[in-house]
Amino acid sequence: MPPCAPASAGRRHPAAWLTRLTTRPASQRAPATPSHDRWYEIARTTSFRLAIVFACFFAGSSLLLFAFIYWRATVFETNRIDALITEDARTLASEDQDAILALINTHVTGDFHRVGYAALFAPNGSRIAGNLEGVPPGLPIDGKVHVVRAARIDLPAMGAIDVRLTARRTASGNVLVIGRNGQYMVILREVVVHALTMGAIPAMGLALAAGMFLAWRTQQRLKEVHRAAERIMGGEVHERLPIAGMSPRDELDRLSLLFNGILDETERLLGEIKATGDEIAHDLRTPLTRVRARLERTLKGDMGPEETRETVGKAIGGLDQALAIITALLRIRELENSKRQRGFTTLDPAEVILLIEELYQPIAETKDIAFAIDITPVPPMFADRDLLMEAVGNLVDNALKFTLPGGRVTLALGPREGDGATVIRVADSGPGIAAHERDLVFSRFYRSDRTRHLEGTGLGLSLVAAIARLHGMAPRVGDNNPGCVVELVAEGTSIVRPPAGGIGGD
Amino acid sequence: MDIDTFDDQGWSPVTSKAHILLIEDDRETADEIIRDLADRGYMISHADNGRVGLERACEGKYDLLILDRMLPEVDGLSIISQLRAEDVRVPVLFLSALNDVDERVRGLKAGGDDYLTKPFVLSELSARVEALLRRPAEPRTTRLRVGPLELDLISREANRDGRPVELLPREFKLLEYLMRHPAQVITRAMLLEDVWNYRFSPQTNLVDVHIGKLRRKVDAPGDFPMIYNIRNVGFVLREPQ
Repeated sequence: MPPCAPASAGRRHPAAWLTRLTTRPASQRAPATPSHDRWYEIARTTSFRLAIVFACFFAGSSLLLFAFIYWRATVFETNRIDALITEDARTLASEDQDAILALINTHVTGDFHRVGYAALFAPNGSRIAGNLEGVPPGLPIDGKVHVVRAARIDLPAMGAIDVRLTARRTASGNVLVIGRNGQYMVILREVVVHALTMGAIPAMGLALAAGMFLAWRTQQRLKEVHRAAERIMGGEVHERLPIAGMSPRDELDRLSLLFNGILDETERLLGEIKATGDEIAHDLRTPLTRVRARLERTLKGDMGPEETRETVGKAIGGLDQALAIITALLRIRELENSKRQRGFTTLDPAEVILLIEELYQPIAETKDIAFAIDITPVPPMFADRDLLMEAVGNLVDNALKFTLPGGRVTLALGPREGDGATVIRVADSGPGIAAHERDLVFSRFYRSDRTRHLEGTGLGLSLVAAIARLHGMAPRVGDNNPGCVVELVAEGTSIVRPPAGGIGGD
Repeated sequence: MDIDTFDDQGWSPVTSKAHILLIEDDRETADEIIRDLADRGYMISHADNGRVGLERACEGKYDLLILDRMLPEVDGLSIISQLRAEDVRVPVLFLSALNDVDERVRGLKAGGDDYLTKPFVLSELSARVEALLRRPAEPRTTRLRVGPLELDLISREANRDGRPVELLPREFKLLEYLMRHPAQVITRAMLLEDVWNYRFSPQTNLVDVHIGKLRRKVDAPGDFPMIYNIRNVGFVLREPQ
């Protein structure tokens, strides 16, 4: 290790750069302080608002209920009283004079509630007995109940009020008036209002209190969620939102679970980026360290000019290798981010295959590898010619690199049996790819241990995968017994897709 | 490598009297380019923003423009569009930090003659500068000749000193390109782009293998070599000396 190589730079806080990636400066962040710390903020919570609405609704329905009870009770009571006085009047009227007088007295004196009215008048209107001054004006003598204003002479303070009265002639021709005032209604109203205050108002208070409690509880949970979210934003990527854990899960828990799922996925992706980052660092450090050693050796100056030139040339080669890695990484990122297909045209993939064969045949010859192409006509493809060439070139490049002299590499184009999907297939007789590694080869920097010693950026297949995806093609790795087969399958979607906005247009 | 190898610096371009205008706002990049091209004998003028650059380009006294894509005031694409609109035919080499196929297409569409993505190796830039400054061989010509080497574009036959050189189609294509750019440093990227339309650097030494095969046919044993390797840069085909 050269003395000034950063031996453990970035090792101490492996996640530090992730934090930088994921955390914006505090000034740019949305106001992070939760505004639910003050008591009156409870009034803003959804639960509390619901409680208020509920209490109002409850109050309204209680009022309606009581009004209905009051109304029905009034009607019932009025009918009962009317029947009572009609019956009283009818019974009294049929008695003789003495009995009538005695009964009127009983009626008046026994009236502790001061509700009764009873009087007997001579046919000329003069009072014979009872607590009314005279026959109230407007009261027909028909034996039916009427509401008339009348005053009791024994209770002048009460004054003339509306009274339910009935008048009837007795057998002797006198006029009998019997009735009751509305005092019973007052009592009834008092009962109802009392019931309302004793029952409904405490119930409303309870509803509000429950609402506030629920609001407070929800707020506490939200505060926890908020704190957890802040910690996550602060870079603690392992942090998760709290789950109250009640069963069945409430909506807040379900939401938290959903977000935790998103966080799991994000953390996994960040981990992948981090792993890639580590690999980039490692893959770059190797050539750069070599370059450094070579330049250091040159600096000592004890080499002849030819050796110096050669050493510097190798150093430049090492730098080129490092640059190639960076360039490939940038290209992959560009391709992965690119949703556009501006360079796409309708082309015959066979052209690309022929050109690749022309380009790579000399290498195969030099390495004593039999390189053959096999083209079965396929329908035109909607593709970017340069990118398709790059992808196929990379596959062939790889195949030639891993195949030993005397081996063979085949580049084939043709429709797939069954559905006729266009398949570009590169098969070699190299070491092959173990089944458990087949999914990994398209990820960045993956290199089988058996091929680790060979030169390359380790990014070729990731590049191929990115290009394939951009073309709606699926990259697949299989076994060639011996060797490996890599296929790019255009599964229907990308075959002559009509360009949306004109090919190559700006 | 079985090819005679020279160092880049030992190679002095024939076009070195040319006057180049560099429009580039990044001080450091500009200094590097100016120093390298001046060392190769070119005259360089430099403008560090688009407006000044456009004014000076309109004077029409330059043989080549090296134009940064992103510039303050007037950007590279507008400059080239305005120049072409005013019928200034000077060749333009685009420089861009945008490694995007679309960007490249746009730059060339707007009237650029070549496109180089930053960061680039200076020898790549100078090779392209030289290629742009050379007048292209008469396009309607049917025979190319470099010293004893002759290429018949109609019968697709090659001979050196009258001795036929058997070439595969791909080798013919390559030799034709080299003979259209004689005594000029051709980088691997230029060959891949111009001969095979292949815009990405392969991981293997693809170009070297092609050149090696061609060279074994062109430079037979006992001949003076015509195809040379320029270390870390590319290749050159020239009359045997």
